[in-house]
Amino acid sequence: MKVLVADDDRIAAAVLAQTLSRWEFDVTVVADGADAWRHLEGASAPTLAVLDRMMPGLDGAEVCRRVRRDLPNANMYLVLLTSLDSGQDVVSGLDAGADDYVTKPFDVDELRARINVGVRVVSLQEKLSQRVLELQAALANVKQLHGLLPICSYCKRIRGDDQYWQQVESYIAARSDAQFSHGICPPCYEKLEVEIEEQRKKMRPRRSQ
Amino acid sequence: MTGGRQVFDRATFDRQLGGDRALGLQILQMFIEDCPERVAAIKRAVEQGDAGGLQTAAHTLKGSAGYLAAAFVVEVAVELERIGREGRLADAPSAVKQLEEAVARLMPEIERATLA
Repeated sequence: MKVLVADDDRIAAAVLAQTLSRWEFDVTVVADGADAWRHLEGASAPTLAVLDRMMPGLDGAEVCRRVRRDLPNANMYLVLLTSLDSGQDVVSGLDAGADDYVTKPFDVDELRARINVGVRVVSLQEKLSQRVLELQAALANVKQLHGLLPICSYCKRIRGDDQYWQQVESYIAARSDAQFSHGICPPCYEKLEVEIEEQRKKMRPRRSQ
Repeated sequence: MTGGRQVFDRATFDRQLGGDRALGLQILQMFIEDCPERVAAIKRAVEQGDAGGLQTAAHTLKGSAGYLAAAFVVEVAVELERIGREGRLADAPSAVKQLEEAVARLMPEIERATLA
């Protein structure tokens, strides 16, 4: 999984990058918020970002705000790095759109746990997006029949929007994915059998004449 | 230890880096290179009466020293950052002296650690 690390302190950036690489993330490091934003809005953007709260130019909170405002459908988990003694930074950072925060200097076990939460959330979001795409594709193939249909009480033809009377099966087949296999139901078969027998009887005397 | 404050907690530093000795060495060397400029930036801000600059410079040093588990330097940097934030520049010179003392104690320990 791709992770972006943004910190203007090269020591913090090196520690973070090496730690995340050790956990087998594909890490990109930038030194300021403007560069972080360029990576996040790019075509192959990372899904996870660890952003320093205080950076020259665009700070971490501002980057979060831009991601949520300009990339509302992006599946990105944003973690802010804040100082231990700045509770207000945490509140304003989360309000700006960060998903979580880690205090500096981070505790390695806490960082791992919080990054794992991010991976879980991003993976779940990816699965949900995939399901939505599958459902949209399925819905595109479903045709629905609804509304009041004028049908002839005798021949059972249906009058379409074009005012032509159509056989039930051709009307339904044209408006849904249903297909028809033709057969004879038992009551109709009984009636038909009687009719055929009557026809035979009518035919016999003629033949004997 | 300095008045109960640890100068450099090697065990915590190693643990934070997951026992990665190469990374540890890299970080220590970066700090040795960067620390003089960080301290100079703090002094410059104090001399120029730039409270905002002091806050930023102290914040940066606090961050770097934090990764080294250098509690004494972190503590003084936190105080300098607060002085900058609150604009109490009259309190800055004594805090700068304390910072110089903390750094003077830290650097030899770090240099020793790079040789270990």
